[in-house]
Amino acid sequence: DTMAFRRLATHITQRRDAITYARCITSSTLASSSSRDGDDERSLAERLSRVPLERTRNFSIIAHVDHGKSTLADRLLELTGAIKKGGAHQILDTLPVERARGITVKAQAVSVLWRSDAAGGEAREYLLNLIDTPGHADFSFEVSRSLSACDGALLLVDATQGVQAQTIATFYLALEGGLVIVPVANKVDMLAADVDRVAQQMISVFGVEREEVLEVSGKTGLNVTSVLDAVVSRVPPPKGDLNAPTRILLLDCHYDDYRGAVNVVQVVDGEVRKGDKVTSYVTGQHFEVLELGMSTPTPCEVHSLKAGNVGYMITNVRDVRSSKIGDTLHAFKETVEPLKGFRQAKPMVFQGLFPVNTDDFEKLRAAVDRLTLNDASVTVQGENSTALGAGFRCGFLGLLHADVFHQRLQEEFGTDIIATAPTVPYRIAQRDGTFVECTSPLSIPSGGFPQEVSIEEPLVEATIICQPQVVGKIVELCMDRRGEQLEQTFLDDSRVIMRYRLPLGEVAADFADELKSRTSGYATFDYDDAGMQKGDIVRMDVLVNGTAVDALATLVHRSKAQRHGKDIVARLKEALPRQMFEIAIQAALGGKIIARETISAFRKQVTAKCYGGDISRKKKLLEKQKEGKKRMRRIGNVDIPNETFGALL
Amino acid sequence: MDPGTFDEEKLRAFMRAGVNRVSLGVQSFDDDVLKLAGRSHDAREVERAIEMMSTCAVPRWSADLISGLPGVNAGTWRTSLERVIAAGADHVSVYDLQVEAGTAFYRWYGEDATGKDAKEGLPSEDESADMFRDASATLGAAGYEHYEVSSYAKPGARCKHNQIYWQNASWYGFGMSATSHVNGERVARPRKMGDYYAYVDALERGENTGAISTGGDASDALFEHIMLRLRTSDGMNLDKVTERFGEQATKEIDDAVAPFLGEYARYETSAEDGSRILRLNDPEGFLVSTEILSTLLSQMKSLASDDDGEDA
Repeated sequence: DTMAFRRLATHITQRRDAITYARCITSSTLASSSSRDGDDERSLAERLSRVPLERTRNFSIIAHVDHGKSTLADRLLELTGAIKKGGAHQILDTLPVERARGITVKAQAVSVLWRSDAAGGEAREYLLNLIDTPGHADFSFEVSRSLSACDGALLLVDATQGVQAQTIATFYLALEGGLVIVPVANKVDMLAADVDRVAQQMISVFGVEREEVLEVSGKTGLNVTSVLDAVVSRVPPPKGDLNAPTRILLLDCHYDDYRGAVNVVQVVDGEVRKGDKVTSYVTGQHFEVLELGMSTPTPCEVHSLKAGNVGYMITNVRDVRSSKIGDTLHAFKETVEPLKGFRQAKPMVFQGLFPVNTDDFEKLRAAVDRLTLNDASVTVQGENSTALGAGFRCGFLGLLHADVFHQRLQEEFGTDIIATAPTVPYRIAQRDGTFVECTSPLSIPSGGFPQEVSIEEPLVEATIICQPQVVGKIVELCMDRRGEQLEQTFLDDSRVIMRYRLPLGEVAADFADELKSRTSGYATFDYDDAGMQKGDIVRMDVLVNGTAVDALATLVHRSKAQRHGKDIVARLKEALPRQMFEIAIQAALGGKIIARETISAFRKQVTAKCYGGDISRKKKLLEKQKEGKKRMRRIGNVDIPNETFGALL
Repeated sequence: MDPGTFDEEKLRAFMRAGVNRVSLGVQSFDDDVLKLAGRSHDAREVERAIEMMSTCAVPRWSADLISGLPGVNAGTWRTSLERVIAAGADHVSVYDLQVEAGTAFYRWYGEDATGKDAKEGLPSEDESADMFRDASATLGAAGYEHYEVSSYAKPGARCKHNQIYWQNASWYGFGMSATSHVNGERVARPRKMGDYYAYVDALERGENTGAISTGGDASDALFEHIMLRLRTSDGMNLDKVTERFGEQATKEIDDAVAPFLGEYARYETSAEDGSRILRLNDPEGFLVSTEILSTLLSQMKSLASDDDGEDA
């Protein structure tokens, strides 16, 4: 029974902060056979594995960006001894871009032990699984995915800021999922904290009682133990059955250079052991379980994961793409009812990505391949543009997601790209009732479709929280964006909550920025998928000196076409440099020119003097011009700056 | 020498010292234009200076004219050209006005000129382009050879020392602000008196002079070569380019210049040895020479610098 020491104690990962992986030694010969709880001689793996389902808690923290989720999480980990006091900060956010932007991109789970008597009776050891959720509207699908593995959620609100749109949106998700809500007011140590007010908001929005609201400070650690105790006392244990046929929920999968594909899983029913063979319900593929463990947050290997446990699973299949997020894994040869599927990653914006230099296509392809290994929510297809050459059409969860992707391409692979203007996914309803997805402007004929064929555009339901005095501006903005108001209520005397149904195409681009600027930054907003609706969507083409530049084509609602066309040509007139001939810029709809601008030719471009002392200077000037030209793409005989292709209106 | 700043005695003294060529900073024959340009001489002083060229029998003299000055129109420009021809100048330098940031002209006539600073009267881009063309036609008809973008010379009167620049040969420099080009290194001497004295002291002590020096590698040499040769009507000898820089370089030049052939550039064959020559057309090629050059330079892989392909 004694298991051999299998690996060396330390690995260094490729992440920026080296996280030391310590292999836990599992042993079945214990010094003490006492069944007394809290025996420190037991190994961590033992302790984790012996906590029964009734003393397991699966929970998440829901919070608006900057409301202190990461800090609180650090405190919880410190309290439970998972990390040392003053150890690595913000354990949960590990990607450089996550830290830089203050957002969580990937979902993760951390398992900790907490000794508590809060559930009544004597103090026992509880296994608390904190399942982290991404913190941005773009990633709401990931939120629902993580929440589906939870039974409760800490609803964290910054006591100096109050309830925000994102908190509300995620709250509804949690409610839908039947989660128990534990309201927590954070940052109570700050001078600007108004706990009573925030508590009132929480009461009116979340329907909780005043005494349920915990008042904590993630920064100072004040009252954080009450949070852990509340999880123990208020969040129910997982609903699974240890004796039922094994069912495992696949929450996520990421690629690690040393360990291969690491799956984050939750065992809902039954048990899975090292060496077991499991099968994917979705693909039918078989996996041999090579290693199981829990993240504490350092990986701690265990022999098995039982119902209620959340941890990681490494199999003989090294390809990340074989793991389908949301899949149900079951025992080989058994038939089970699949676990309720949760929302699939639905790309919300599509962009064409092209290498700045056409010679670098292979480099871009390799980089995109690598990056998508760790981000299964990015969809990739090849695309060819007459203007920009060979590239990819990529689908992202939102603009932030796209932005993060571009940044990672640059930072981690040194690839520079030209990205075309983002387009939301439309679908074309055929005569026979089937749908064809449309993710690129070129899928739609220029003038629109004939009558029998209709296009549908995606809708979202947006939640906006603002101050009463800017309500008018927001109503104006939403009306301009073809929105339909669903609700407008007072949260308290200083906050109004509005809900609107809007086309995603009107929201995906610069809605957040417009909202911020019209409300001086005080409104917050979040949105969620709300189905599709018929729309009169047409394709706007851009012609430069008579030639259509396919990479500049965009899709727009016919009612906005005129304005859009004028904006595009005006923007191009500003951006394009003068050339030796006149440049005619036209916006066209089905062959009809709806807007036009002209850039006059320059009549002369000459350096009058080039004598001895002028030569160095002239060289510098030409060098600068040369560099400028390199950041442009020559289409026909016109130079178009790279940024022009993707700039949003 | 600027008109109005010297008399016969001074001129003769210079000639006794060995000076055999004078360049007169005429700029214009029109009083109003001269005033607007902030010159301290007038048309009469221009005539007097020109007269002295013949009374003192200066072997060769050249006149500078600036096209595109405020107050100049097609008519006054033509007059200036005719007068300089009638004056019998051996050489004429015609400069297109360049309004540069940091100068008074930029404050008055530049793109950002606003309010009471802004002045009117600068010829349009079209008009000054036409002036360039007119100079080429008028001076050409009068027997002047347009041998460099801004230089016109009667047969045998090409400016020897300027041509050294355009052949990228070597020369020494003396005095404040002077640049020298020796052994491929360009050294610019300090502009101010005090700094210049310090420079000379350091030179004499054998210490680091702090003078700005630039010198290049192979891609730099090719860059300079193209930049300078295409300013001239003699053009760039492509066979020599192949010899010096390789076939790849010449091929890249041919590819990049292709769209400009006909209207702006052409090939010629050297009368001497049949070599292939590339030159810019007069006046249309010269008029947009900077654009042609920067296009050429951005398309030629041989001229890519080390950090190309990685934008900051």
